[in-house]
Amino acid sequence: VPHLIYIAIGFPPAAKSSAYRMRTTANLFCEIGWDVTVVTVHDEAWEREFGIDPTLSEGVDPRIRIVKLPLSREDLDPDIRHYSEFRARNPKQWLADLRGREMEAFPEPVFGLWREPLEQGVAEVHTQRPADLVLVSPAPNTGMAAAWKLWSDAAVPYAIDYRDAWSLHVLQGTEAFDLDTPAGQWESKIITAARQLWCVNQAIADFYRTRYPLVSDRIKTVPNGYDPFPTPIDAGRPDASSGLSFGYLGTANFPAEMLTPLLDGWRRARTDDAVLARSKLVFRGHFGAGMARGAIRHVAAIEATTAYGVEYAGPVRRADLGKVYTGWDALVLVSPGGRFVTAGKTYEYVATGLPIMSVHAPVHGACEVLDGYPLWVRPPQELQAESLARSFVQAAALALGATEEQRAAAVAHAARFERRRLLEPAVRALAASVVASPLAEGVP
Amino acid sequence: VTTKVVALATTPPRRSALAPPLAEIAARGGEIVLGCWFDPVVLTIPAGIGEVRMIGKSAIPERLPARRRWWRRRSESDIDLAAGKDLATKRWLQARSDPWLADAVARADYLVALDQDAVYPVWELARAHPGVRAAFGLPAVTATLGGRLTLSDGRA
Repeated sequence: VPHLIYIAIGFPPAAKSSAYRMRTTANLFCEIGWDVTVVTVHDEAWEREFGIDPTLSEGVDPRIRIVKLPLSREDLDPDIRHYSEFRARNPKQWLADLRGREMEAFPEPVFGLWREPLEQGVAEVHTQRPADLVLVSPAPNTGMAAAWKLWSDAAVPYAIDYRDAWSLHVLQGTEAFDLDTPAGQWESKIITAARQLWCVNQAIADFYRTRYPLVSDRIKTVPNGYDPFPTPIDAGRPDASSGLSFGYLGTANFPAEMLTPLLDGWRRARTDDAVLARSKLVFRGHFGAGMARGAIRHVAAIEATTAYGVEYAGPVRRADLGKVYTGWDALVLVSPGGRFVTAGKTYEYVATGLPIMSVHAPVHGACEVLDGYPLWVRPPQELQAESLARSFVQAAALALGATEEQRAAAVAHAARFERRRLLEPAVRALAASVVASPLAEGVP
Repeated sequence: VTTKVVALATTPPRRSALAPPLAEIAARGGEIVLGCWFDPVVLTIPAGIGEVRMIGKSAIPERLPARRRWWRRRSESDIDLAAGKDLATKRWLQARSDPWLADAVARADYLVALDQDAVYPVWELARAHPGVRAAFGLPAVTATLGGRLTLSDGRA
């Protein structure tokens, strides 16, 4: 039986968006007959960030072995007794020094110091049960150093599942570093020797094909997708007399400045539209990590508009997703960046079959998913209060006026983005590139 | 056994950040008091905080006898002289000389800094009080109470 070491830092129960893709990837390898060992970090590390969601682990194939390395982000250590006096008195300087040490170990701030323990951890797993393939899912990019080390020492082939990108600033759409920088040299050698490089959208894949033309045939687009909801969404007909519920669900990964025109637009829309005047706008999800949970500027902006029916109601457990979406009549998709960003929540949003109001750049990766969705309010040319007020009015009209046919068409549109459907061919092809196996090649 | 938490803040904490952990700590039978370096009037105190007291010069209560007020003011002047422009030291010295805080810390199970500038006084208080856990942020307390995180108590 072939053995996969899957370096998946963010695997369940980490309450992170990465957990879904990792879980399905590991499950699929298991289903095609591989032994799978996931290498991640211990749960305490996630307690320092967004926390854990044990309901995410419920869908993990029990045959998968999970190795949790005792690694945590030192900068997020909440135990003040661990701090030196220097750190307690000079937090900024202490952090700058830490970043310097991290960059010395591996050219990635925050995670660079994990390089050695990750290399050792992966090597140990290989010693116990030799691997046929390593799949690494950055970020952190430091995980790739461990894959590289095993390739260098034991010739174990590896592949990379870039959920983001390293040498590309996906938000700005600009190159993050040159090829001749330490990070550039690392990425170049890692990608050149990789069996495959997966990217989450075509724009990122094209960037990498241009950057590394010699290996362009190994660069694949493997989009994200959505997981079926744990409980079905039972979206009833909205009642105009009691107002509508607009919802945003996701990590606050957009700049707080994006909320200014959005909330101004909401206020304006409430004066223009009688139904919106008695409607509410609810934000859910992780807004701030660690000690900053619920304390970021986004929340201050939301709290300043509570008189207008706006609220932040905290994160949602995976098991409660269906219930939360059922309580909403329309969704607000706020996403930064442009064509390089798809945003995982876009897939989940379309799977709800609810009207979706786009709040992002007109040219944006999300448009590829939303194009053809019958209940879509397209993004305005500019994110201004006036145009967003019109978007709210349009979304309200869609929520109240959508026919059963339109709702059914919306749900049907989503079917093609089911995560397993998108990931399975990629997993089978990668497996087949390493081990000729009837199961891997898709033969029943 | 009631868990006693003493939180320190140098700027008004966001209500949305405080409310969920406060509710969880209260649900587990915990009691929280807050010492702050700002006028608590600006704070909408969420449910779960037992008492809020200001630390430092302007915290000297008017109801104190004149002689004690004079003594406290003199003590504050000494702190100003000793700390100069070093705000971290000043906050620590103020925390050390505050009788209300001294009493609360003596009975505390957890000391919590709610913002970066409150870390140093908490660090010093923790050093002076072995057996008390010291955390940056209330989520660490709820995670510890829930058995998902371990905070050291300063005893070997």
